Amino acid sequence: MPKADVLSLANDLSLAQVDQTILGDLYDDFMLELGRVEPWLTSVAMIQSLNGQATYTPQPEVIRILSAFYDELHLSNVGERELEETAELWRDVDGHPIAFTVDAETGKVFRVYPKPDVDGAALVGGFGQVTYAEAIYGGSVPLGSAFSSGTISLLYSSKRLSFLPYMEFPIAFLLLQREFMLESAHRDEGFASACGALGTLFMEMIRDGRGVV
Amino acid sequence: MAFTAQELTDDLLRRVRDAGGGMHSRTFARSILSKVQQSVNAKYRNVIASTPLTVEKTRQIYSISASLPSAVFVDAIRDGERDVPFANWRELSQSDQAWFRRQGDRIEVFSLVGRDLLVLHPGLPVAGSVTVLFTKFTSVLSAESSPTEVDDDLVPEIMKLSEAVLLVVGRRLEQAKAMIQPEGAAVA
Repeated sequence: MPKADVLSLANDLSLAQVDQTILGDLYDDFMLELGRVEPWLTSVAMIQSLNGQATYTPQPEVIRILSAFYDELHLSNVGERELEETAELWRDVDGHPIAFTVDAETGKVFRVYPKPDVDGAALVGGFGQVTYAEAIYGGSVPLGSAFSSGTISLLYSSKRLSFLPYMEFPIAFLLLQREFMLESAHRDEGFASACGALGTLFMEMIRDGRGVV
Repeated sequence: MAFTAQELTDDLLRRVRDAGGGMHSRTFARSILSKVQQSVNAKYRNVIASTPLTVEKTRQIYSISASLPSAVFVDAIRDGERDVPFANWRELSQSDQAWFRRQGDRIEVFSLVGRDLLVLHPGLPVAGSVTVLFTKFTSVLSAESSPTEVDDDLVPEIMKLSEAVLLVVGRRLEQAKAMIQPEGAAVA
């Protein structure tokens, strides 16, 4: 469901009292928040590793890395302190990666340990990074044994242009809750509260705990 | 027997004392009924559909929104007559650190990562097919003659929630309040 449709729905539900610019910003903020707290929108991406390079910056649409793999191997998500306990000069160790740690400041840039001691083969597609769309939909890039060697794969919560269609209704209400709590000529705490209650109610109806990560 | 959108719209506008549609247009009321039906169906997983899904050689991960655009929930996977069991995707790594590229003769489990990734594990050495059973994202009530899809006994909940929405939209918040209680909305 495109962003414009959700904003249009919210506008209709508010009887055209919303500030569309602010609502658009709230939409973007909400997508990021949801991706950090409870990943509904999830994707997979691949990155070609390089000999001696430990640190990688994932694709811009990555909000939170849920899991990482080096070729077939699941990488343990560990903190830097744990790695320091493993080896004093852990940053200099190279070999076959077995773990990764996410930079606390960015929440996205990550380091693999040990750093790869070989160059990864070029990814099928040849762009160095295979995008989500190419990886998921491209028949030439099956997410299986046809992987190039030395590939780092990520499962992540993603930032996209739109939510899933069934999320439109609750999210429109949750955006209205935020918009009408803000200081403005149309601020209305009662309406905001009611929209929050409806948004929460409808969100619960579409929740599925099975994919929770 | 399904209700028509016309019947529900008439009833809804009467409930909010707007039978003439002066406050809410019939189109708007119908759009709310559509969205509430979709939500109620998701809650009860009432309208279930199925479709074949082509399993590509070695591929384990599929985008649900791309492969199953009308699915709200993936409820079950069938491989022929066999029900494929569900496993939390975290368990895949716990039981097999190399699950991401594992291949096998048949799909042993299915899993979900968030709401948009379906995992069919392990990958197959040759392409195949499974049947996906899913909770349907019910169709929009696009015309007065459009029929409801959920069972009739869920229609009262649709009406109650739709009424609450229109009361909120009309800023009749006190009236709406009682209907938006966490479980109260289910009481018609």
